[in-house]
Amino acid sequence: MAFSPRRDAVLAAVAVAAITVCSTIGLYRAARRVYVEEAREELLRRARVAAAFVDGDLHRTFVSPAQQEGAEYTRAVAPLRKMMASDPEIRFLYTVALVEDQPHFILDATPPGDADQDGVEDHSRIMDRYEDPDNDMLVALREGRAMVMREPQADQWGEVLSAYAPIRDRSGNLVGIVGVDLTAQRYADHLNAMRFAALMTLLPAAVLSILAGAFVFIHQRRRAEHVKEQEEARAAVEEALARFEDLVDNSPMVAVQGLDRQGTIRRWNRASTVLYGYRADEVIGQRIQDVVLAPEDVTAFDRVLDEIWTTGRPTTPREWPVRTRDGQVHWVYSTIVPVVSRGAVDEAYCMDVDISDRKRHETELAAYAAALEKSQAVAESATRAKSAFLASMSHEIRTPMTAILGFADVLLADRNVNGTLVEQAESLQAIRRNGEYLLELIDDILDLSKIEAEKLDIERIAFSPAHVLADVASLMKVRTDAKNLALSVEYAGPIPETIQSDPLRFRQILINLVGNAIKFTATGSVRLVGQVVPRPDRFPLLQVDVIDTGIGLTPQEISNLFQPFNQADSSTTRKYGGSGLGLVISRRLAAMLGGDIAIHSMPGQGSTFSVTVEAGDLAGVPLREMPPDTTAAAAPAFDATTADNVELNCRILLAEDGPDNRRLIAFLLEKAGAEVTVAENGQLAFDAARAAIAHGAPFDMVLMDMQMPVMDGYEATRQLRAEGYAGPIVALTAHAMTDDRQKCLDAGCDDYLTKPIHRARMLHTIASYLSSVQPRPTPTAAGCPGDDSQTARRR
Amino acid sequence: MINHPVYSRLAVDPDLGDLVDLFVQEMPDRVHHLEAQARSCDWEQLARTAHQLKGAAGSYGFDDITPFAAQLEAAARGGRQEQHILMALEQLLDICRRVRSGPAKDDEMIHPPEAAGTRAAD
Repeated sequence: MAFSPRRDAVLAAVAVAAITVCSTIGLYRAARRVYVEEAREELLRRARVAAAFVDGDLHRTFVSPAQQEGAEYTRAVAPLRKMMASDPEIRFLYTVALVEDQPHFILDATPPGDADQDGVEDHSRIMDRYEDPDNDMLVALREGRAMVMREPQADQWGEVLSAYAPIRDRSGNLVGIVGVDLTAQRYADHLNAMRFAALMTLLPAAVLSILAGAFVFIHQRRRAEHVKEQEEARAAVEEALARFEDLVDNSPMVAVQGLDRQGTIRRWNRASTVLYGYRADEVIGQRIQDVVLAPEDVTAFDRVLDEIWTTGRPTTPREWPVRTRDGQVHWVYSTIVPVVSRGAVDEAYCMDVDISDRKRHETELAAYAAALEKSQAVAESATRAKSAFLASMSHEIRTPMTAILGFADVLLADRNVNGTLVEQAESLQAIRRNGEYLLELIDDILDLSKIEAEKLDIERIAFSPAHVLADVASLMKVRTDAKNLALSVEYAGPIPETIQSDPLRFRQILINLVGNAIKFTATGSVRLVGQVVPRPDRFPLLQVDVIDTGIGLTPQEISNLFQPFNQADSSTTRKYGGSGLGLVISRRLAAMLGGDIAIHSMPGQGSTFSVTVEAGDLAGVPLREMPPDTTAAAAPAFDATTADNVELNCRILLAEDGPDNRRLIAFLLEKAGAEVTVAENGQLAFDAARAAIAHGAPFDMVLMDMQMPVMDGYEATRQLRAEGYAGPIVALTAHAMTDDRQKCLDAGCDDYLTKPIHRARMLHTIASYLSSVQPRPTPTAAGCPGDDSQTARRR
Repeated sequence: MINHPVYSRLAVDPDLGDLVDLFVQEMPDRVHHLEAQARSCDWEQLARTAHQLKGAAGSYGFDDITPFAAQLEAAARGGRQEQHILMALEQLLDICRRVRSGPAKDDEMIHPPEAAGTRAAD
């Protein structure tokens, strides 16, 4: 409500004034009424007294103004005159009787003359007509009742107050009335004094009103100031509260939740919604423990809450893992502050700052630190390993060097003492052998150091894995033959025609593994089993298992196997030799080719070394079912004795760039009866064949080496066919694979022969294409040992 | 290591004996060629020579030479690992230098002294 001290003061003053004026007027009126009543009573009493002094019977006798001077009159009026003389307030004292229903004076105590100087005779005479009688007089005359005027009446003789009392004769009959007129002056003066006194009382009332107004004004003004202060204070509090709420609600960094004693959420600011993903209306009324905490953290949180209610102090900030609505785990740095209200702690504010990023950085930092520590450890370990490697390397190098120098000394001494040739040869062999070992060792070290330094280049080109396996088997067959071991190549399932890898490195790995297998196998076999291992979402692997029936390995030995210079044990080293570097290199190479080497072995039960390399993208590469033992199958046995049975009566063009084979093949063909023309490359062969055709004498047969300079055999064959040559063309190739055969046939060849040249097979193959050939009997066949018997003796 | 004279299985062949002899007689020239090609780092020519030798040696009955020639050919075609090539060449030359005319003689096998070091024949 609006305070207006001025208005209130005016109201108060008016109210006080009104009350005092009203009460004064009331008092005045009451006093005046009492006074008037008393005055009237007094007047009426005087009128009755005067009426009692008048003799009614006598009074009736006065009927004519002539009786005015009579004694009767004088006697009758005497009491009235006496009364009038004794009372100065009586102005007129007289009697009136009705004559013909009109009031007429009878007696009059008023002395003659004009006392009031109004120009009219005061004294009335008998039977003077009473002009303008008032109503009271008429009632008194007609009804015989005493009457008095209510209020003074002004007439021509001034202000008077009149009373009338009846006059009766002895019989009680009404004969007239006594009229007493009092001068109203005293009465009026009295009333004026009373009015004055009343007015005088209004003066302090006015002062009182002013004082009251002033008092109210001051009081109200003070009260208004007080209220204003209170309102200002309340507004300040409200503004502060609003600022606080605004701060809480809109603080972007700090998620604030108001909690009661059980942890029930009462407040939930916007940052809480941002952090936890719940809207305020979704979580208010639920326990915060159930909303954001993992079950395992609830006990700890409850303990913290209890602590707050007990101590009433904020908690030490700590980190909590919390769950958000979408199930993510965040870390918050959180403190809970109790709110003291009226001496009790019943609510608390939980304030969270999201520190997930910091936490993640800490974790990453810790991971980096761990990784750093680990890499340091690895580096130290590598340094130690290198030192150990150098130590054993120097030992490995010193041993053969000592032997070389020692045998050189022996040779020098032999020269002095003329040692035998055989002894000298033995020393030289030992020097050579040790020198070779050193070279191999240095080769391996170079390989290894290049791998370690990551300077080894790896190719990725398409090549035939079956070729490489066949090549390796053919290369290692000498050694398996020397130890009387079986060596075979098999395939578990179809094999891609080509894979994308490094053929030289793949071959190097296989040679090492097969070499090891042979080295550690005394009897039995070494098998190579190739297969493709598909992998989900990645290129498939090509796996080759090298399976031997050798001494096998213990798990401990396997774990040491890939450490440089850690052969199974030193006795193994003595027995089998080797630095052990080959396996280390092989495994590194396999890793560089996207694969690995795995070992399955038991002592005494042989070993399987499985090498894998990434085969690359095989989409569109045809798969081939491979027959087992390609190398072995490539040389079907021929009866050597049949070779001499072949007679070739024909003209053959031999295209072969190698002089040795050219000579040998030409000799064999000529010996069988053929006429041979030789050509050193494809171009010359093509020219010769075309010339023969032009002369109308084409060759009966062309033997075509495939790998030749200038123009190779494939191209020469194609051109010959294009030229129209229809005779048989037999390819000569150093490769033994079926797809090589296919390549030759595609180029236009009829058949193919593999090198080395097998005499009988060659002649039979050629003969099969020449219808004119006839076997001829050979009497010398029985007496001459064949190729196979010779080979058998050598083995 | 193969450390004995190398003979052709065809040496006793009445038709081919002379050819084998000729092959053996020409062997020092081949060795010389191979060495010369290696010295001039002509790996392509070296690979070709090895390839021819691979095909020829077996044809002349010297089967043991073939894998060494094949190894050299493969190494030389790779064209990068000089150490490998030279090692393969040395192994090939070693066996080539040991080729002999005539049939094999069992009593000529020479066994190395075991005192020579840590390494057995490999």
